[in-house]
Formats: sequence, C-alpha cells, structure tokens
Amino acid sequence: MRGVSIIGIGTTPFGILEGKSLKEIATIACNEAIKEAGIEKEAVEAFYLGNFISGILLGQETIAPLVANSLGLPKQVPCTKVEGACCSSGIALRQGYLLVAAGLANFVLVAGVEKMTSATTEKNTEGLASAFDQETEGQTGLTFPGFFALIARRHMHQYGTKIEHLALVSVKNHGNSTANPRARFRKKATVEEVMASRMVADPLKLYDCCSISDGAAAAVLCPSDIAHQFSRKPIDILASAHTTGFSTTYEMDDPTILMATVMAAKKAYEMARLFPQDIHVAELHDCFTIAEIVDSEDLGFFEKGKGGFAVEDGLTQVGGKIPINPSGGLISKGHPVGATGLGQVYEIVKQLRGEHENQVRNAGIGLSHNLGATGQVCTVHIFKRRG
Amino acid sequence: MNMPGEERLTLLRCAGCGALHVPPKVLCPKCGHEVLLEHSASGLGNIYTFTTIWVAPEAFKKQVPYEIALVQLEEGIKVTARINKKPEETLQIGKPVKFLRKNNLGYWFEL
Repeated sequence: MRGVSIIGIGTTPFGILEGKSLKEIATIACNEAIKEAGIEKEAVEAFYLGNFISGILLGQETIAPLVANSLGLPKQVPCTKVEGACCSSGIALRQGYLLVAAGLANFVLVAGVEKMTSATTEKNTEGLASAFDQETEGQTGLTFPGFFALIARRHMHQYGTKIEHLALVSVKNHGNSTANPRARFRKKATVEEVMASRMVADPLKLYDCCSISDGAAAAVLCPSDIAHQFSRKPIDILASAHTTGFSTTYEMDDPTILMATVMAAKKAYEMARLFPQDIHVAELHDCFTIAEIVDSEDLGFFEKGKGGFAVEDGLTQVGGKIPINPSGGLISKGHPVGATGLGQVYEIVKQLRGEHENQVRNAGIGLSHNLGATGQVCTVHIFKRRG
Repeated sequence: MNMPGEERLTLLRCAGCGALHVPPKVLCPKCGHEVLLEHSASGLGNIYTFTTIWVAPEAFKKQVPYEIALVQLEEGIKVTARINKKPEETLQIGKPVKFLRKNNLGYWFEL
C-alpha cells in the first residue's frame, strides 16, 4: 500500500446558499480543489461524490456524472456517488484513499454535496428519517433528534450528565464559528439561550441540534511520494477507517456507546500507530450536542460518561487538552449532510497547514470523525502535516 | 388512539442458538440459523429511555407531540415503541409498561 496525501481542498460556505443549485455548489468546491492542487482536470482519474438525500429533496439522482460533466472532467473518468447517510462524504474520501493507496490511480477527486434549505423542515426531517429501518423503527415516527434524545436521556441517567453540559457544547461550538467565514452561524450563544430555545425532541432543543444547510466540499488526493510537487504543505493521511454499526436502536446493548465509532477509532489509531492523546485537533460528528459528548468518549478522548464534564472543564476548547470542533462543528458551522465529512476534512487541513481562522497552536496531527444514521456508518481519518 | 392491530406481542426465537429477535428477520444475525420460531412474549417491560417528539417528519406532523421509548422487555431484549400516555401521566426511566398493540405505527405500550 502507498501513502496517500491531500494536495488540494475546496469548499463553499455552509448555510443558506440561495439561488445556487446542487450541481453549482458541487462544481464550485471541486473546481477550487483541483485549482488548489495545481493539476489539470485531465489528470483526474476517478471521482467519488458523497450525497445523502438529493433524490428525496430535489428529485435529482445520478449526480456524480452530473457534477463531472458540469466540471468538464474527461469522459473516461469513472464517477461514483456514495451514500451512507450523514457519513456519505467520509466514505467518498475513504474510497478515493483506497484507490490511490492500492496504486490503481494517482489523482482522485473526492467531494460531498447537499442542498437542503429549499425544502421545509418537515420534508428534511422525513428525508433524514429515511436512514431508519422503514420495516421497524422507521414506522414509529422516530426522528434523528429523537434518536439522539433517547441516547441523551440514558447518558444522563447512567453517568450523571447534566442538561447544562449539553448546552455548553452548543455554546462552545457557536463561539468557535464566530471566526469561521464558512460557518452558517457567526453569533455567540449563551447557556440561557440554548436552554430557552424551543423543544425539538425532549430533552434536545433547537440549539442542541445541527442546522439544515446547503454546502459542498472537495479534496484532491495523490500518492504521498509525489505530493510535494503539487503542494507546499501536503497533508498526509495516516489512517482511514470505515465501519458498520446497528441499524436499529433497540438492538444496541447500550446506546450510549456507538460501536461503529469505537471500532473505527481503534482501527485508525492502530493504522496510524497513535493514541487518542496524540491528536492535537479533532472535527467530530456533533449532529446534536449529546453526539459530541458520546463521540468524544467513543474516540477515546475521555472515559465513558466523562464527556459532559470535560466540556464543563473547558478541555474541548481551543487551547484545551483536545480542541474539538474549532470550526463550529455541525451545530454551528452547519450540516449539509452529504458534504459534512469532507467539510470536516477541509477544516482539519486548514488547521494542519496553520491557516485556520480559529487556529489550534502547533496542530500537527488532526482527526476527523463522520457518523451516519443510527451510528450505522462511521469513518475516522487521521491526518498529519509534514515537518 | 384506538386503532386496530395485533393484540399480542410476538417475537422470534432462533431455533439454532435460542436468541430472541424483534421481527421481521430473514435469518438469525447472531448464528446464521434460518429457522426462526414465533415466540409469545409476556408484553411486560420497563422504560429504558424515552423522548417526546415535537418536530416530526411530514407524515407524522399531525400527531405531534408524541412519545417514543425504548422498552426493555421482560424477555431481555429491547424494542422501540410508541407510548400511549394519558395527559396526567409522566414517563420515567425504569417505569413498568405493558404492551397494548402493534399497528402501522409499530409497537404501542402503556403505563
């Protein structure tokens, strides 16, 4: 297997991109990544595009060749859409990584895109709920805020996590994104504001939830041994892991642990020969405040049950023991579901290049964690800057 | 809600390893055995965790707010279910519940 590096990144802002189509925003992000990599479009040998619900929301499918044609990629390039709910573009990165690592291609374009804000909240909730098993749990009217609310209440019961801990995650992430020009929300929030926001799925309130957003993000991958020819600051991918969890909540022994994350993290740390304490910055899947707490434990940053207390102690802030979501995360940067995984990678690459607007000092090793559905899908990637 | 449906809680028991499952299952995901036998459950359990849904998918919009719980069944496995809660009742982790019916919205339990 060859080493794989990132030599170019591109993105749109995340948020309400009014008047811009799915095809347009995906094209913009891809074009930026290719230009940044300094390669010709003709050099791209494969294209993976992550997307979750464009079929349901927009009636638009077959979007990988659609975007490739908009971009003007050569016709011999295989273009593949990958779907794994909110983990779709984490999988796109993983597929591109595998192709380059295996020596089957030198330059691979990976991207993610979602266009959500043109549909109503109910339509989005319905589209997202398509990731439940429609033969069982999906029939009940369970929603994703509802799924994470079930976890939140159990986490509070088992470990003494407080509702204020959840609110503090939202406060931190809103604070972080004030500096991020790509974020949907740029305004600070207070604990009181979070607690007073309207109920979505008890005990989760509006400010505990990620925001429906439009957005696209992309990256160009190549073998590590030639990466310096294209980028002054290539970022090496030390690990790429992709795992599967349970499809229904009721089959989990303990839903406060998402096993797909635990297993992906274990594989990724082994592959990178690193430990959780070696990570300098992490972008993880905070689709809800409780998710950030659970993820931070499942990734090994904190002992199970201690994630909420770690937030209270400031350990996850920029400058803390393990800065989590300095971008603002899904909660405040926004969650265009199919684009999120590569949006996280964009933020980590900026951190490791030392170019981030909310820079973690001396960030040398970064981790991204992307989760889909009921923790049915998970990818974990570990990145390193050179020198 | 007095909707028609199945009045008995039926699970599946694997003829190979004895594991209990919530239907439907094509085969036992634990041991791979292809024979699963219907198993009548007591219908008794307690609340493992719960939530009230205030923002629902389009098709459930008119039912808001509604309660969903993970019910820990006496038989040892869990099931996701709607809770038929009277206005004066409150849900709590550990509270006993009993099976009411199964219909197009899945399983229903009550306190």
